[in-house]
Amino acid sequence: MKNSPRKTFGTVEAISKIKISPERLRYWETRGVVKPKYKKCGTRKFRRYSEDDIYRAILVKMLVDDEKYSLAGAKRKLMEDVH
Amino acid sequence: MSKSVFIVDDSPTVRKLLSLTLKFRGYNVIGAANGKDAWGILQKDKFDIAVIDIIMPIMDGMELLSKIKDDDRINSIPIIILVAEGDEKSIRKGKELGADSYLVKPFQPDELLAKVESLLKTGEKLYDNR
Repeated sequence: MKNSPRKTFGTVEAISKIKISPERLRYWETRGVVKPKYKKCGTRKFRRYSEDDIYRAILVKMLVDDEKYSLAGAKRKLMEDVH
Repeated sequence: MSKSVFIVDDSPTVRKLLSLTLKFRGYNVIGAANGKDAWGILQKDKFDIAVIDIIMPIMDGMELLSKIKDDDRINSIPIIILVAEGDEKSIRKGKELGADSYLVKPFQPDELLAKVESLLKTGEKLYDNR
């Protein structure tokens, strides 16, 4: 099977998939959890989140909300090697 | 004794999400980044369940699934395939090839745990529970 083109998601779709508020997602952007690209449309810019952004946010949400990590601790966990 | 789960996905972030979700619930987890590496690991290690992404380089998930189901030594391992949203073709093909259940990406950790636990506890085929 051939790889499909990398899909990106707008903010509404991203918060629906991650299941968090837009404010929290924007805060996590300032902390480097997600790194959306900005797409210019006229004079406005819109965030586009990659699949990796979505998974990073889901993972951080699980670590912070369920496993009681700090945001900094969750980010460190993101950087660790995995299988 | 902890159940062992084999996870196969080319994305390190997805492998980490799968791995940590399952490890926090006490599962032993081994991972592979493509079907070819996964096939090598399956020749020497035993697992209680496998979670396999469909779109991967080198050997994709469908080919790996087909090889597993054609091998009498390992074809009883319950398999959950990971499919892209709206990819009905892969869902149908996975079922034909013998997958026991599927998860649509991106998935939430509790969805993964529910499917893994259900398959391990009851051996229930979840394909029709959409």
